[in-house]
Amino acid sequence: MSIKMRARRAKDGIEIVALIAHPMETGERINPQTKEKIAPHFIQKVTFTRNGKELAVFDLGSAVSHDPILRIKLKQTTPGERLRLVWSDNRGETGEKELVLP
Amino acid sequence: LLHGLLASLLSVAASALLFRPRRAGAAEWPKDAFLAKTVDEALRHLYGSEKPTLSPQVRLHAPFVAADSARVPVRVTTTLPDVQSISLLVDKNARPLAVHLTPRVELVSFSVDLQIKTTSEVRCVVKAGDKLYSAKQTIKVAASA
Repeated sequence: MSIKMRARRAKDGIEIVALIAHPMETGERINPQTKEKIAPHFIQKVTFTRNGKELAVFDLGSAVSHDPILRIKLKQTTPGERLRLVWSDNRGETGEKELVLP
Repeated sequence: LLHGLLASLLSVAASALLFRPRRAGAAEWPKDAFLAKTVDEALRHLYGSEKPTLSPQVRLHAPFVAADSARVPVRVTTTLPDVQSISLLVDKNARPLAVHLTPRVELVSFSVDLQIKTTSEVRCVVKAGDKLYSAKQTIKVAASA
């Protein structure tokens, strides 16, 4: 599943925007045809690291939208630093993306 | 020299001990809190019996009326120092806890999109300096599938 990530400088810091393509199925929805509950499938953990050091760890629940957009704004960064995002979901699937900060 | 070495070894051991609980807490997905069916239950799993106090230093930026209940952007900013964790909860959702964030560096803000089933209070709980603070807002959902 794909991840789009970009970084944008603003007056009060640098904003990282990440769009992760993921169904984020809550486990509460009911399939209208079979009347059965659709099995949960959602991201549980998203970790942002900078040059290998953790910046922020998001634990997510099923209430997060499908194809979630996460934004974090950092105070201090140096151009050229490597920012990395890694996610994992309740089925053990994972994804990652890296970008070089402007 | 030996004395100094011993002291440094001890301090390394001590710091390892000090840091371990925090690392372990962040590494595990807090399952009980995410599976909790009420806000109080979720908060109890995350923070114990302590109750958060409303604080103007925590700000929740969200629409008053949600255009799309499956994608409601919610942004959190705080001016509190020494933030240890931030949680976002939707009172009326089947599983109220939506996000639990552990920042490792100072963040200016963060935002995430939430699914909100029905008109509900949304609250943000910030743990800073070992105390709990919160902010809340009602988000109206006009119609949902």
